[in-house]
Amino acid sequence: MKGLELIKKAFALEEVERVHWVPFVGVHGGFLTGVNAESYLKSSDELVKGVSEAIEAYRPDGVPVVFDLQIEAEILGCGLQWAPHNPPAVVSHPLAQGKSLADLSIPKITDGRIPVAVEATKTLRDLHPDIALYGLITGPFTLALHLMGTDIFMKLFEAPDEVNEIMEFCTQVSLKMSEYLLDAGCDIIAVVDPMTSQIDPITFETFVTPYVSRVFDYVRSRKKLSSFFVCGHAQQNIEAMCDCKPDNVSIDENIPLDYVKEVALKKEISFGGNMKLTVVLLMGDEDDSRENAIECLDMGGKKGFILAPGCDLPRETPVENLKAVSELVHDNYKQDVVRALDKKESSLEIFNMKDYGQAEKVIVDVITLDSESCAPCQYMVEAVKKVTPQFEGVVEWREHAIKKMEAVTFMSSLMVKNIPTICIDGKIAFVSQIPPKQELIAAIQKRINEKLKLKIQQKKSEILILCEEGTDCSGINGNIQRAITELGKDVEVKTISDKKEMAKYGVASGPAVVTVNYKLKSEGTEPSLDVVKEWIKEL
Amino acid sequence: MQKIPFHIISGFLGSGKTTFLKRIIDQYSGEKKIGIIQNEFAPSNIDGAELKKSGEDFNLLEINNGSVFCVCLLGDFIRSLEKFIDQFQPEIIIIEASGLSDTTSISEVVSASSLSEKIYLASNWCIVDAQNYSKVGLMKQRVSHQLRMADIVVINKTDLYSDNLENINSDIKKINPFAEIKSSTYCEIDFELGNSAINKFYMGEVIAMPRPDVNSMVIKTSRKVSNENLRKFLNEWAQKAYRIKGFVKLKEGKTVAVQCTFDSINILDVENDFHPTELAALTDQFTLREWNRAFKELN
Repeated sequence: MKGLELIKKAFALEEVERVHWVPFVGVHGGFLTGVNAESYLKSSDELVKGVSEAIEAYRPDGVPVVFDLQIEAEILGCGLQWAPHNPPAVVSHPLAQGKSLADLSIPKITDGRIPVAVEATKTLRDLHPDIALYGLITGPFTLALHLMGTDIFMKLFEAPDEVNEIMEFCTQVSLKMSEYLLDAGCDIIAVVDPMTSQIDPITFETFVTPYVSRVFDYVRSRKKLSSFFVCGHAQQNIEAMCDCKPDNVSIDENIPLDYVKEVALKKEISFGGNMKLTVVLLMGDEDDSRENAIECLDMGGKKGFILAPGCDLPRETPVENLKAVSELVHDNYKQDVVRALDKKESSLEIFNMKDYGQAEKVIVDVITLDSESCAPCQYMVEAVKKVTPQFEGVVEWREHAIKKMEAVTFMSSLMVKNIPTICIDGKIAFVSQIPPKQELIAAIQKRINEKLKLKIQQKKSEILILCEEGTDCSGINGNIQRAITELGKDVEVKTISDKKEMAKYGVASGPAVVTVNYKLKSEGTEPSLDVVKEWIKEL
Repeated sequence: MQKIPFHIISGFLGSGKTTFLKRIIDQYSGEKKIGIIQNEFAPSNIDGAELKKSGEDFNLLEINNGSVFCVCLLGDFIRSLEKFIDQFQPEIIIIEASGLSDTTSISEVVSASSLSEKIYLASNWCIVDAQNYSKVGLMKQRVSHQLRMADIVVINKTDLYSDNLENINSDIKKINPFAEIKSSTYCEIDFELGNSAINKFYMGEVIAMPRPDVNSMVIKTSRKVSNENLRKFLNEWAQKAYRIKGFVKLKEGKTVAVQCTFDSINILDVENDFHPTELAALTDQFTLREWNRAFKELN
């Protein structure tokens, strides 16, 4: 099913097979294509390129077209300071600097950078008809703060009428912006209102709810979907946010996902979030990203949940980290692997496997999640199972299902990172893909040949003639020498005549003959318990 | 190179942060190289200009870029701060965090990024304007997350406040029972250059011994732990740390405030608030990864 359809399902609180994923690619799109934040946010062509690149790389179900909460503010006269790595910052506030509301008018579709957003939306709509396009607008409260500066917080108490007037204006701006973006082809209007995290629920209900609800009503009247984004410490307002009747709320790492889930589902609203932006996605590695994604996926569940970063992705977020999340989202098996490893990783004692695979037989290890529940694992195990009998007992195979602790240790010791994997005598041979029969046979045969060679090189044999002093053993000796000559073998012959020495071989008098095979098993290392066991089994 | 102590001074606009900073600069700029970071949200650095007027010697990093308000902007903050450190090599860094900044996220990022090799979180101050704090009860929302992670809360402008200070005191204690509360006028309070827990630990050593590198770190998570497991966890880790403090959500449904120095563990119930578990540690014996891992395993 296509991303847009999937997102609609999640918004409708239908149980889904796979959780949907919406990476909030803002100026990160410019990072993908090599342009700075300013060039990116000022050009519809660059936006289209960046977002398309992100769609290709991260296989999302939905994406924002442009993530910039300063578009409206800029048109309304706020000064912007541009930066290469971030969206611009508002640095001056017209209503705090002499202007009045009467001086401001609702932005037209041709004003400022609105055409950039509209054009980019239209083009992306054509290019990616199946992906849910999020049209982001600045929430009324955040826009009011842009216009008034931090004075707004005092005025909430000292001049509530003035704040209400400004909120009314900002709401009209939000409604107009929603209209432009819906007309251009957005599926979802996301009202991004991070500054509401700064107020308490009563203030929220007084100054935000009556206004922002109208935006969601409007989107509903257009038969499109809406989402309410906040970031920061907004947990106190989640319930009030839901009461504004958006179709979805989206939050960042400052709010526990399980709390939002509980509140939102009770109010029959879908919810999304809240991968850690900086500490994990920006500064962590792929393992950190996977681990955090799993934590969110498990907490969010499969009903009404959309996996997303907490907010606008930092521009330099490593591509591999987001790809790792994307892979995980699209692959249930990978999720199980991460879960299994996550639980057990810490108390791991790594075996020294340097000598693994030195036993007589060739050992084929298949590392799986569990061949009973994971289809690729099952096929891989079957492939091995089918092939080994052809070697008539020379090859032994085992499955290591990492649901068991020992198997995790074994896997880590062999440095296996992917599931399923085939190792031949401890060396990784096939990763993830099930090998064709002939290839598998060839790989095993190669190892058998190698071993044979080693065996010949490492073996030493002796023949001991146990012969008490005074006894004539020349006949035996003669025969042995002749046999060696005729066979062309490299065997050393020793004569033991000391009675005590002879007794060690269980020989009382003699003459007797003992053959001895030596084999070099390890040199300069301390073989692990597992390995020694393998040797002992051969004896 | 010894790590540079990093101090956070947060608080409401107009609470007296800049006055406090000026005092610190006046007092120490002769003996230490001070680096100041300001992230006033708006309207572009009045305070920066104000500070420059004081004429003393210090380096200023102004972050006008929207503030250190949203986690999505912290990447840029790290970059700027790293450059600033390399360029000026300050011996002490103080950030004046606006009322909108999330001080926990700042601590978290400072302790997890490459910055953690250069600096450690030494102290976290929150300045409260006595008059405003009690006047506008509803504003508390905005300072509560700064208050709860503060080591020291300064109730400032007490000369303008006629009511009983005890009310504010007990209110703050409700949010953060372990904070040291000081009251002042014009922010006349002593400021310690390093961290007091470490300084106490090393007190009495005549010769300044080379100290091991100090790491500061923050765990922030939605996971809940049981009361019993939390105690076990703290018993194990407190003795390896100069200090552990923060708030933990318990499986039993309660929220507790925690404060441990290397030889004592204190746990107090607090009102259930709208915040995730947030624990900070200062130590020279373990890393964030180890600590995080151990905390995760409590479940």
